[in-house]
Amino acid sequence: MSLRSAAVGRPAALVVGGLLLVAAAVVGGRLPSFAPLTYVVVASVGVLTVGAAFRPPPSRTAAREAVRPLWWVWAVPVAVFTVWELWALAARSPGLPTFSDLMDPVLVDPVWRGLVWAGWLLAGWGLVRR
Amino acid sequence: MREVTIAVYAVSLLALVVLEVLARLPGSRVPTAGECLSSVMRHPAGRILVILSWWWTGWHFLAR
Repeated sequence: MSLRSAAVGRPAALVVGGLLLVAAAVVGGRLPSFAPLTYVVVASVGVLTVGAAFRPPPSRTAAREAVRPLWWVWAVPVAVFTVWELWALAARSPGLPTFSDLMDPVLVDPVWRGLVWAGWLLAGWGLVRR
Repeated sequence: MREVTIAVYAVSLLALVVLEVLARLPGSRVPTAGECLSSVMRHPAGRILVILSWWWTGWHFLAR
């Protein structure tokens, strides 16, 4: 079952899930970096997600389909981003910032931080369902 | 050089969005990001690698 069909089939679950996500974004947006509570929360979410990811749900019994042939095109932008990031990491020069260096001032804002929290949690939920 | 670096990051991320759009066109030979991840995650090693990568991203940007 796709995310869309799950949402259409269970609108109440979608509303509850959406409200929980908004609540998590609001709370997460106020959790600062380098704080013990933040370490505990992010680590706990990780442990719960790893546990959930290895519980085989019924949907995973679907027939295996071959991935479409041009899968490798995804590797191109990922490789470019990764190589540049590693180069910037090794150079440690203000003229060659890492992606993290660019994101740090953005993530100081609770709104952006909350949005990243929501995106991260949503991505984790999507991965667990696969 | 800073501008070039920002452009490289921006173009790489934009390319991911474009690929996802292309993948959703009828008859596309490009799989969606979800299909690629599902393929990788069929294997337990791929599954743990993807999940740990996701977790590290959260740790890196939200905790440290």
